[in-house]
Amino acid sequence: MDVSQDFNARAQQALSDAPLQSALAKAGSGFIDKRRAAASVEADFEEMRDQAKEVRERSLRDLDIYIQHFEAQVTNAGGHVHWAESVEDLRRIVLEICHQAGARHVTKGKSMVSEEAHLNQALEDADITPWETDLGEYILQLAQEPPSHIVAPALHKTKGQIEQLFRQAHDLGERDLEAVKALVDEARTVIRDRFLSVDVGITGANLLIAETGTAMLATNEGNGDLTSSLPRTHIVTTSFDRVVPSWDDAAKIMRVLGRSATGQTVTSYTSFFSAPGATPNKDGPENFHVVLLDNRRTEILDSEYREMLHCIRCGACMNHCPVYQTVGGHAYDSVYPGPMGAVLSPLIRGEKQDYELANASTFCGRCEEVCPVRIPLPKLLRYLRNEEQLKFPKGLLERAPIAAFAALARRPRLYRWATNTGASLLRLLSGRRGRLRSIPGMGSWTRHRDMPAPEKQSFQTRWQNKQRSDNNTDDVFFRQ
Amino acid sequence: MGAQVTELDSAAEVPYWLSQLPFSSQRLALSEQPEVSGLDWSRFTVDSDYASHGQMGVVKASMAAAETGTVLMHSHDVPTGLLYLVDRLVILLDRAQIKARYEDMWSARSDAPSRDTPRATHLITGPSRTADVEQTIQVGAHGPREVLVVLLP
Repeated sequence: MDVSQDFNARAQQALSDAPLQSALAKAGSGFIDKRRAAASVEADFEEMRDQAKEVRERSLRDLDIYIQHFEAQVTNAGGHVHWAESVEDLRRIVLEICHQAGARHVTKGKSMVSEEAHLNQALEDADITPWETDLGEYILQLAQEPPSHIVAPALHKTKGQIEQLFRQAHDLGERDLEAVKALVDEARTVIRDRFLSVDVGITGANLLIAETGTAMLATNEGNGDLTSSLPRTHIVTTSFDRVVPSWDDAAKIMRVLGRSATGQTVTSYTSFFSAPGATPNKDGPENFHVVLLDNRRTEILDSEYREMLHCIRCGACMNHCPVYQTVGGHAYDSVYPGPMGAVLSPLIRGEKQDYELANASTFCGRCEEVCPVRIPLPKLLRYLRNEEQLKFPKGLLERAPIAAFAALARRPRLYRWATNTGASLLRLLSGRRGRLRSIPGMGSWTRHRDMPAPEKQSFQTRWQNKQRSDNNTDDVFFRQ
Repeated sequence: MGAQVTELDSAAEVPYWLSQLPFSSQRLALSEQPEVSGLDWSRFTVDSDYASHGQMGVVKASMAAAETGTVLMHSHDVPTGLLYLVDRLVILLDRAQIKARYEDMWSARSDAPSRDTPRATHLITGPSRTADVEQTIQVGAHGPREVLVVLLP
């Protein structure tokens, strides 16, 4: 996909991409139905959401205290915390740790922050080979494509496309990869060897628990556990805003994470990783490093977009978004797609094409409805539209009609005259049928819909009439 | 959540029960926990090479949470490799250790004799799975293909 084009162009491309549309259709209502099923089974799902929201609010309120406590706990147990203000810092820090460990290959569990920092490219440039272990990310590594969804990164790929990729990449002979099982088994075998052979494993983290300096990782595959626990060195790449104060707080997030993302009460594996500590462990790495990325999140914390940092990366918003469902994640051209990406991308990357994403929304509000921590995404998108207008003012052709409307809307009498005249004209045009099949200038709307003719009197006119006839009863108004 | 649950009257019955299962393999890996290694495994060949094909592994859970049928094990007791590299994982669980919610598990741990936080605490709810190929659930992605929980009194 040519990333120099704007969202509209990429969206058009996505609409005519048949394999993509087929893949999106398969994903389609699946996530939605599963979340609904999981939520409806719980009598107190709404309360779970309220509790999760409260945890995130409280975490951010005293974020500095919690994150410093987190660092102290990690350090006391023999681990290391690194602060990366920029994505360049993150890359530099990770490379340094890998060099010290003498690593030529590293295994990777899914980490959105590592995608944000383009870490894989930096590793390759330094002659270190990253091996993705999450099946979706592994597929993308073969296809050399970025993820299109934060939970199911290869959502945009059909089974046929995946089979093609495996055939090209693996030495398979005559094996039949038709069935899903065969594909997964194949990946399991190839990746298993890699887990066992590397010196460094890099994962993300869903949450950081300040209480004990612990990183929580929720997976279904178990790849996060194998990546983190088999090598001598484990690196966690994440952002500092993922911190929560205590294990009890983490439990409240756990309750809404799986249900919102995939409709599971909990993922198959939810693991909590800390530094080795003094008491001997049966196995595991000697070295535990947590690299905390900022990348403008401190700015977000201090702004009207603060609530965006509540996000627990469940993906529910994009699963339910009619725009995302139609064009998929690549159209957003960002590591973070969908509604949460439309808010986060301009805030962390800030390019014109990121601000544009705020327009890829009808403000239908489904995202906010399903967000487990109740982030007011449409409101934040509205702020961003405003900012877009200030930072990247649109041309005259787009500004003129809006300016005209604004002038009209500020003058109530003129507005009423204009709308009444317009309504009369539409009634005239609709003739006896009472509907308009087409309206000049609104072709894309009327191509699929008829517009009903407006009523004889607008509400405002009828209200005025009612006010005038104070001596009459209310019946008069309703009889009209 | 895709795990099979069996009830036995005592831990001593476990090795025999396991040997009678249709898929049962001769070789298995055992956790060093006394409640596991102390049982009579003479019917089997004990092998600590977890990654071998068809490997079965036996561990004892510290506790469980009823809210989602989740068992908890940690690295002071059980090696992570054993939990994830075997094909079939057998988890022994005492009924008395089943708590209601996650928070109850956390309190039970802090009541225990003072120790550092284990390097890894694993909450396991079923076998390994993925839906990355056309949203079709496929069991046995990287971790065990099967999880069997044995409930003991």
